[in-house]
Amino acid sequence: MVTEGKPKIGVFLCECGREISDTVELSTLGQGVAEMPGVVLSQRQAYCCSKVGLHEIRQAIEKHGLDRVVVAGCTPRTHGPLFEKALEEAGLRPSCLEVVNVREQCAWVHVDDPEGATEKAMDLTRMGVAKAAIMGLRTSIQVDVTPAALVIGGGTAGLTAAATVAARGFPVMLVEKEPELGGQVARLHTLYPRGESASEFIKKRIRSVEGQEHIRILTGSTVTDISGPIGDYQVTVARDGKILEFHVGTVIVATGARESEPSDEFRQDGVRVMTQSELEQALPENEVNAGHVVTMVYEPDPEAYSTVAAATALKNSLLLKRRHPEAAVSLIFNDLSSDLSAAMMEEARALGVRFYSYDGRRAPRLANKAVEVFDRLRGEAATIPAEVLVLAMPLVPHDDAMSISSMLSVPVDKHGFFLEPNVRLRPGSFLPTGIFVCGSAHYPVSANESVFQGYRAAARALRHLSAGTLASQGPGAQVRESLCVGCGTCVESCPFGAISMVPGRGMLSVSKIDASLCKGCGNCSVVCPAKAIVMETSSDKELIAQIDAALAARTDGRPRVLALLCEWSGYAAADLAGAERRQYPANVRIIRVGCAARFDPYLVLWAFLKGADGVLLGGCDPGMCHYIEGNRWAAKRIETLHHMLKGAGFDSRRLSLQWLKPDDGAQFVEVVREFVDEIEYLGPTILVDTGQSLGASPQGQLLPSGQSV
Amino acid sequence: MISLTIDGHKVEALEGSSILEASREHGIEIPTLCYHEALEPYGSCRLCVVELETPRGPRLVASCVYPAEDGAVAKTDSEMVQASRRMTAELLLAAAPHAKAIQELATRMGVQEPRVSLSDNDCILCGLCVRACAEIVGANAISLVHRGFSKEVSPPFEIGSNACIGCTTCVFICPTGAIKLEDVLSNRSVHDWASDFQARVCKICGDHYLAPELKAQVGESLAGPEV
Repeated sequence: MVTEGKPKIGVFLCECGREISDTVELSTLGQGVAEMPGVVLSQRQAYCCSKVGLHEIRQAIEKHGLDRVVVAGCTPRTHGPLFEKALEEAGLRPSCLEVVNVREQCAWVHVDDPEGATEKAMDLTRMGVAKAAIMGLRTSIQVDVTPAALVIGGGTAGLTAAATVAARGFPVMLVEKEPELGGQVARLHTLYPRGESASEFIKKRIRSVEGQEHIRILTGSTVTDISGPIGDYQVTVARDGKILEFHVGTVIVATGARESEPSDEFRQDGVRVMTQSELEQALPENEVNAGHVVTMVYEPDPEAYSTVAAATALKNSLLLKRRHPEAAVSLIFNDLSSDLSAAMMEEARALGVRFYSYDGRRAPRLANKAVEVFDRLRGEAATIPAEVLVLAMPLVPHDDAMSISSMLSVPVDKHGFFLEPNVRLRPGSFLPTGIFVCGSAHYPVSANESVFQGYRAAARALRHLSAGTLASQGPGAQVRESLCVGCGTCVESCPFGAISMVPGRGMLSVSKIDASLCKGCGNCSVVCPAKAIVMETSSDKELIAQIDAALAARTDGRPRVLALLCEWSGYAAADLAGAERRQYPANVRIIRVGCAARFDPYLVLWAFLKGADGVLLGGCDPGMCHYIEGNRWAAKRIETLHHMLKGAGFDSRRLSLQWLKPDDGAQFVEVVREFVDEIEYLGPTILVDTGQSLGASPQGQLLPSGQSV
Repeated sequence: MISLTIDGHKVEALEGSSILEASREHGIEIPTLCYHEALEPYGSCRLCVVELETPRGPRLVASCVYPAEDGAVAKTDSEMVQASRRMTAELLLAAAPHAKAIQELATRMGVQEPRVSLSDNDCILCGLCVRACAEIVGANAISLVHRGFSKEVSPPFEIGSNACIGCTTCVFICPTGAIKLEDVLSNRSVHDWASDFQARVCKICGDHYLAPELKAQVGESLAGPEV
């Protein structure tokens, strides 16, 4: 990915008013920069980010024919887009920019050590220049969106979403596995909280999709396969033994939920046990005629608490009491959510519904035609006679939710509900999948909430559909097919399912990365045993160039610590430490990587071989990874590397992996201080670079004998 | 290029720049809080006011949003400007008594103790976080809601939003340190990604393995820049 000919790098040194120039000796830095390979221009500016500054950068690009720009100023996290825009206006690709953070990492944090700060600024700029010289240019991905939508599920949410999308003129395929539309609401009597008729409610929604010219309704059908790239999913639907195939650009998942079945512990002679929906079907026929009715919010698992179940129990207790004022109606619950309708609670109390609150750890039991419950409110055990026991069972996802989840690669939570396929990355750096979840498929919701969610999903889907094309400049991974050995390790390593094996030359299959799914975490490039996967940005080469540059010039005689920081946590924490002017030792050189998944043991070893005295790795807290589990991969790898280093007789204290919080500058400074203290105590390493490249050393023998004395 | 007079100095500025930008470019410092180079100016903190000569006499304008005009005469440190800034600093200190940046600013303006007390919350509603979220990150996860005393920064409908990507740019950019990661997390519906981590190893040999015939190529790919 080296550009043709020698790169022409322009370096702009920002004074930032006097914020940088007060601490960092910019004239020394300027002289040093001018001598760096590839640099054709080194220019000092009062403010690179001001209108004048950006204007001068644009002019310099034209005048000197620069093809790479390095700005030594402040953090790329906030000012990067500003410079990228200036480059674009001057006709360069935005990815030709490298921002070196000398303000947050030198000027603001080494105020008492101007010499150290200047030397560090020099190193950081050298690292930036070295990276810029070989920097890979991001390619952009563009995909067309097929103007059609698939709605899975014909319940309240699905009907609403289908009607809304179709009203804007996009064809919609509405797939429902039952023979009739309507979903759960069709089985209800009245709706919470206003008591409108459920059948009227759902009939209105069904009418809105029936006879709509853009909607094709497929009842009694199941989705058997969804494949294809983002923007053009190929859907296969089975209906009456026949197979239908069509293409859509967006998928709305509205598969809903169902009442779980009551367990056998409630089966007892003489007591009629029914679920809330059975009660609702029985109510119109006046079937429930009993003197003692107990409704109970059944929660086998406190986490399964749903407002919907509690609301249904409340609604139905009230309905029963209204119909049969003479019956004794009791409502047993663990915890009634505060967002239940206060008016209904009051009416229920006024009519004489008795409320019992039980402790979640002491579940009520059914014995001798009565429910025994320890009432938390009164502080005593109560025995409530029961002829009919109505259970409000937790709502659970349908059984086929799992198969849809794997078809769409949309994750589900531990209860089986869908999680919105939204990964926390900078928008624009990846393509939106066009898959949206609404209604109870998400989590149990009321009918009204389902309508809102249906509208919301439809609005998002419409935005997706009307965009026509999607484009992004993803920091993606690419496979060098000539190096791929076809082992398939990368397929398992990809948290986004972007990699698949395809037939290659000869007997080997080669891995293929779907650029529209790749988020650029770089995990595959680390696991690849043949190093056949290369990142477009922050490639191994770039990182190695940075490591080399960081360790090239050492004049202060102090141990040199290299820090590889994930941009979502450690790098952000370093920025914050700068903004808060927290001081730390100046012999740390920071390299920004996209994710802890990029903490490649090879890179760490390379750094040690090149003379780093300590390597600090900073990733996101467990569970906070923006790429799902990059930090856990890193933990595993570094643990192994620790063992290997120990085995090779190398002090593994020189390598430290830390979880850093992006909003805790103090923690970052503390970690750096402790680590630098440790390294200074250990002294410089005695590893000497023999010029032998690491890649050529046989695996398993990490440090060739003779290198560690 | 246009030319204007700031504090008695003739300065030149690019057309379209603000008085603040023209001043900073020439080393004339004007205090700001809600201004950020990477964002569109907003003019909410009123610390950057300067005195501008107009046909109807001197007038205070917010220099971050006021365009530099040819022949304009501005004073950045007159008595009128100082009085205004002192009052602004005092009110800011009342609004954010614990914020270090505000305390320093107030001390610089000669304000010791605010005469009123407004809130315990250090948010000064400068809108930097909201603008950064929209303009730099592009996520639009937060906005300023309500008016007057109840105005605050909040996600849509004050419920957790998937729009937030947890980048913590707002935490970094907040001048008073009023935003913390917990706020960011509570403004987002946090998903417990249900993925079990398993140590995965090469299927062929059970370890990370490097094929001998590939060594040369790998060595090349690892050896750094080609020279």
